[in-house]
Amino acid sequence: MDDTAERSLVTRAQGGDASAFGELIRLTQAAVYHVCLRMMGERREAEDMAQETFVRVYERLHTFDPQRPFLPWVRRVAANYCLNQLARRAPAAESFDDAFDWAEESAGPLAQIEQAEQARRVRAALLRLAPRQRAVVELRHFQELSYEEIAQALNLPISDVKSDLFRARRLLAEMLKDDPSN
Amino acid sequence: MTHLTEETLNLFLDQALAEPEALAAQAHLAACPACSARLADLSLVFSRLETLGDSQIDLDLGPAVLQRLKKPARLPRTVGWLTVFQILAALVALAFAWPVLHLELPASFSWSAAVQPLLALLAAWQTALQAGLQTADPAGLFAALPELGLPLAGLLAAAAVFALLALVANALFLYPRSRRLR
Repeated sequence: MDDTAERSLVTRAQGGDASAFGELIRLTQAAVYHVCLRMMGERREAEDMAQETFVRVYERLHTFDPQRPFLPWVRRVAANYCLNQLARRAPAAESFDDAFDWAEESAGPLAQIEQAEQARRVRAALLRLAPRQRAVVELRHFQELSYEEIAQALNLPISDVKSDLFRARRLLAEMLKDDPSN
Repeated sequence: MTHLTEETLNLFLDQALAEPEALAAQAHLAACPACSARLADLSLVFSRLETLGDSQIDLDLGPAVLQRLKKPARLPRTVGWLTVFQILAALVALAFAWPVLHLELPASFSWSAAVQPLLALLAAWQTALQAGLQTADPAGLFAALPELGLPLAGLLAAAAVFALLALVANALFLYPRSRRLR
């Protein structure tokens, strides 16, 4: 979709047009769902979080500048919402679903199983990180934000962002180093 | 040989080093197997995380989200009770003020006259405050403050104004929540 069409959809949705907002959901739901799945670990929960993200997006839509790209903003709202939900919970071992949806459909059956198994290990490792470390990894690796942008999105000093990110990577490296597939 | 710090390795992978530092790090990595191995561990994290990218999903969040957004918004319980209390208090204040204002005011009352004592009081307080600050004498400051000498009608008019303001503030607070999709 080109920028003009997206701007028009956002403007119409800001005016309360349900079909325009429905179209924006359709265009961005996969990305938002995956942000939630990486943050929360379970499909059912990720689906609920993604729905809740879109409700929040609509409630804040009047503050959004239609000249800016919509997807990065929505993904940031999703990451922040998941982080807030995780921060409210008592620390507990995170559970997660099998990761067959990450296997490339074009790969053969055996390769698909291997890919899915690898994805499952990475997700398990990701879920062992502290929520804030997970959010920083999400924003840096999947949303490709700079340190400054992450600091702004999470309302943290840049030094904290770097420290969380570098520590998270070290922990992930240690966990993935023990991965038998290496 | 001084090894590269963890921060430098991370910044190197994030392409966040300035050019001279990046070149120096590259030269060091070419000559240092230990740092190269650490870099490889970190790079593994980058490539493993890529396996969790966004893929297509068999999910349509649109209908559920739109259905929720079309329902009337519900206030959180505490905010709801507070708003009800504010509205009742404002209505009671108006009910008390109205008969007096209605019966006593037509002949002698004007809104500008009712506000006049408040303005005079503010001006007197300002003068007293300035004088008190100049003399740096707190006792003199309080002694110089004028007493509240508003007539009953003025007080009731002020109560009515505050009650109306409370109702308007509630309406402004509730309006964004009433913005629903069409």
